[in-house]
Amino acid sequence: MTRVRAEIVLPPVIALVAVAALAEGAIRAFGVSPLVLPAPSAVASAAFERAPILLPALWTTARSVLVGLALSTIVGVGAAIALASTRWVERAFYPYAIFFQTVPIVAIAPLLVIWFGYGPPAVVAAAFIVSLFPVIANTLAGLQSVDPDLRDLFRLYGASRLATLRKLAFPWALPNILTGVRIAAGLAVIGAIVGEFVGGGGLGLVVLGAMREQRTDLVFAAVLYASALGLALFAAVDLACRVTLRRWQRHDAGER
Amino acid sequence: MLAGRMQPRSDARPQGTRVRLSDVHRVFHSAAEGRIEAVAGATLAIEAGEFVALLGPSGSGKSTLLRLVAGLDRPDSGSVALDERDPTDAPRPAIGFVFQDAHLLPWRDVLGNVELPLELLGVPQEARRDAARDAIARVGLDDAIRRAPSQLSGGMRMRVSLARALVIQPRLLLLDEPFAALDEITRAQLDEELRRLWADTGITVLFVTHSTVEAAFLAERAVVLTGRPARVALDRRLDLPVERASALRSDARFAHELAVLHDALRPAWGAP
Amino acid sequence: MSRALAIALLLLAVAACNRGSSDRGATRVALNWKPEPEFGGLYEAVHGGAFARHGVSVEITGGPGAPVVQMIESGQVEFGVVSADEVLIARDRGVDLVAVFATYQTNPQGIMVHAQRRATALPEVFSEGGRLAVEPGLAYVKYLQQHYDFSKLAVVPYSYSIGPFLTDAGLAQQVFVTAEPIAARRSGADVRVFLVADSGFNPYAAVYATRGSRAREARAEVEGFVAALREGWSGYLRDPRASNQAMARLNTEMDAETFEKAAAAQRPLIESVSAGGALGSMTTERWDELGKQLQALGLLDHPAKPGECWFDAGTSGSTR
Repeated sequence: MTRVRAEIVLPPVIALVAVAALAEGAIRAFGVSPLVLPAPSAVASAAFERAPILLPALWTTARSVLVGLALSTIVGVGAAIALASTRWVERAFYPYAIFFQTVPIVAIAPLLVIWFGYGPPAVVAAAFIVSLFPVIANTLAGLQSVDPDLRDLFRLYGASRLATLRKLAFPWALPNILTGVRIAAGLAVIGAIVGEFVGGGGLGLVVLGAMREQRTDLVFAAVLYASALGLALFAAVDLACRVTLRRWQRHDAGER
Repeated sequence: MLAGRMQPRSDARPQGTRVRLSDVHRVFHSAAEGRIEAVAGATLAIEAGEFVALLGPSGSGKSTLLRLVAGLDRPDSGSVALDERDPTDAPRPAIGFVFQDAHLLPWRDVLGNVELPLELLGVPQEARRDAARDAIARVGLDDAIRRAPSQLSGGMRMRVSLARALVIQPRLLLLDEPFAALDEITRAQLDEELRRLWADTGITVLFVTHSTVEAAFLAERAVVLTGRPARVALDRRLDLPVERASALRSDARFAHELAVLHDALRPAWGAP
Repeated sequence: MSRALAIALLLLAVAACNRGSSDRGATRVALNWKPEPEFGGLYEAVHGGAFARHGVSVEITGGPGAPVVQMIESGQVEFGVVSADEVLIARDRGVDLVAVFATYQTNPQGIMVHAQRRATALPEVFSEGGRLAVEPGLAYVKYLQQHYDFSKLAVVPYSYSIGPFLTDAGLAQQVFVTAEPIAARRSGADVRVFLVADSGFNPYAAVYATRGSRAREARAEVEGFVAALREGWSGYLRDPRASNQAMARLNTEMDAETFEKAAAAQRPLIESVSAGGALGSMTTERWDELGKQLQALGLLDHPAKPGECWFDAGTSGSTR
């Protein structure tokens, strides 16, 4: 057990230390200004010393991200189920789902603030908009990939649409749904921070202030915290994947 | 129709369904190939309790015919009747279907997979669990009852699929090249087990295959279909003993029947 | 393998020393906003010929959101427009920036509220509560937060649009007195503006800065630039119309009437020089005062050296 854990954890840690050391050396050697690119040591010390500011900000952003992600999961799966019901519905409404993928969140963030007000409501809206499409797209792909023979089997025994959805399509699509949520998680963090640039609060506000004050090391430290949030979400989804799919080794062709 | 009629194994003879196909036509339209005539004027009468092999090359519409019989598809013209009823009418007749791939739900264990048809039909939990256990015992998988499909071999998965088809005590069993993906030894084993199950229950079996050996070994009657579109080229009662032991395969009568079937298939093999 | 490494290191070195020089020695100036009356003197010096007379060829670049401090520091531009507090903060972070010309002797930043509010002075604006839209991290925001009671106030980010202000009676926002109040009045709002300078925080604004090394090594060029700039401002204050037209062509979002009003509104802020002082001139005392204020706000890690942060480029070019 510990050997496996070491094999997974050590390589990225070593890589991180090596790259950081290289960057530190290069930045010092070439005298790169701290306002352009702060040295890893400066970023690390800012991340530590400013923790009293960064941790509450992280918590604020994390709350908005979780709510936004929960919304995009629920709405996304629901929308995909609706889109998968008939070809007509899919053809009519799928293009509008794509809208969520392409809308530039930076441009509409001010609108979100006008509609939802400053603070968490606008931030949650931004996180939701940006993370919705991957959930829809992946869930839909999963629902539409159900083996037609299995669908026939369900039809043979007179299963209702609801029963087919609950007992066949939804469990079948679960790996796809989790993939979609994993992608959505990273996007939700981005969306939330962009939302915070306009709506205020959280890590986004810290970044804005730090840029203004020419504290580039704090900017990077805030970015580090944001990445940690994204990583934590990834890990959580991964864990959910492994727990639900524990006994389920999916083969793509033939045998299931 | 099914709840409360779980009969003990020893005298389980649900009897078979009579199947009538009259001048059935089925045409498909695909973007790639245009108009495909899958079945053209197939007429077939199968009596209750018969074991019929449907033999033909790939793409000869055998699977389409099977699905028409199951009521999963409707003919464009002509009629399909199971005991004088349309297979798509409610209440649906008790049919078991076995695909080439076992198609088990990977998130359910063996018990969960086998009880699925009863679950979909609304049978309460205790009754369907009992029936499922019976069916699993019948295919010899008692020990694996709690395993997940990913923990089973190909042959075991197919047995589960068979158990699932039998759990509703069907009067008609349809199999679409079920053992084609398995190795020879497992295939021979399952052939024998299937034949025994049929003998025990007396249900009607329609077995699609493109293996003449398998057809000859399993069936009392072989229907040879031509290439696309599917038409009956030969409908022959096989001159073989009722008891089919594995030794049969080296019998002279067996070789003779094989030759007859081959001859019937040859023109079809030449055709596209 | 070692050759590839050497090439990679060479590229890194080149990138780090991005002291790109412009074609044939043009002097590049980075603005921190769109072409507006706050840069009127610069455009006048270009179009009126002052730069040409001093042998300087000017390219104007930058815009809203441009990282002017970084652009000056990396050599992308020779001069850039920043605020005085930005100069001190940059120096504190180890960047050798010096100010050479201060357009606004009185800081033009302020807080705008709807006229119907009861507040008659800045402290009341904050204690009344409601919302305040400001750019987070601005030095004067921190100053105001330190000196006044913000407990009833919700601070929200300012996104450079007066839209939220127009629809929210309880919102106060940061302004440049030559810009947003004029726009707000044109949209029909009745507004009142309080100057931050009146609260005791008065850094120079629209300050032209350059690298300290440049000021020391190319002294004559810097003096020439400043002299021409001063001439330009002199001309612009006399008659802003020609330069306003030139800027309006580049900044199509602002109409001629707004240009005129803004140019008029900013005059007292530019000209408020004690007798004998030239346009754009600075004093060490004011830099010293600013340094102490910024340190009290926690924006500077080390005490400022006021004498080193500005460069006396002489007073030639018209005085006022």
